[in-house]
Amino acid sequence: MAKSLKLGVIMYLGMSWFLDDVEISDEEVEEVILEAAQRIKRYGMEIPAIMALESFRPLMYVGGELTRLTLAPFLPFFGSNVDMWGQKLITVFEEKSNVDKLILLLEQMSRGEYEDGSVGDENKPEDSDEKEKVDET
Amino acid sequence: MISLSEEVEKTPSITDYLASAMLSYSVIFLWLKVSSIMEISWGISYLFFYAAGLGPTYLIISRITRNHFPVAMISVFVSWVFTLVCLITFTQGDPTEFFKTLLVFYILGGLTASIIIMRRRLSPQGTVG
Repeated sequence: MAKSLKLGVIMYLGMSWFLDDVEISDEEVEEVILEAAQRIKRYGMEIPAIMALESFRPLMYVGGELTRLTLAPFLPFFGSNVDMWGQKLITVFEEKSNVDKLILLLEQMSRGEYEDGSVGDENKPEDSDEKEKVDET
Repeated sequence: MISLSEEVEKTPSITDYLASAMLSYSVIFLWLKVSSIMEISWGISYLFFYAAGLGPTYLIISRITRNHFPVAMISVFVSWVFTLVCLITFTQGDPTEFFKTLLVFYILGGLTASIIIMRRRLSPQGTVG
């Protein structure tokens, strides 16, 4: 009994170990953050979300690893889309900088300062100037 | 591209937390003194407990730019511990229920303060800190 339990735990840990490490590009990271922010905004949960994110920000890495260990092995049962989206969410929000970006995005969306692709983008005025120049030529 | 701002975040110092705790304690102490002199309904005491949690926490978190809820909860806890330490010598019998009630109302006050500040922070013209 004890042996089979040990074997089960080892297999489970091994399975969760092999399932992690999804490689995500910067664009995909931004997409995931934007999608998460839009879903939070859709349900009008900006204030509770920011409160929770700011409170649990120091524990994000631990939370991500625990989720990877406990939930991630079961995600494939819900389909490949859910599995991929779940893996991406875990990987993206393990990093504190991405959590900060999500909070910033939620703040900007709530204030009505958000326009597509312009969240805190410092290059935007230069781009628009370039566009104007192109239009003039 | 989502970029983060470089501005330095303000965080309350230990002095701020202690000042908030003293203010909370002063409200509670004043209420206990008044209620021992005059005959006032105990229902009003919950209002004072709530105000003792709300006011000082609001003053602390209105000075910072982010992390309002965690700071509010730290402030509430420091206030509660300060009140517990200061009042435990004056109480007779078993004060556990009193301090439990006080903690609940402090937390409710802190939660309300952080919601008020968050609403201001997320409003279109809102600036906090």
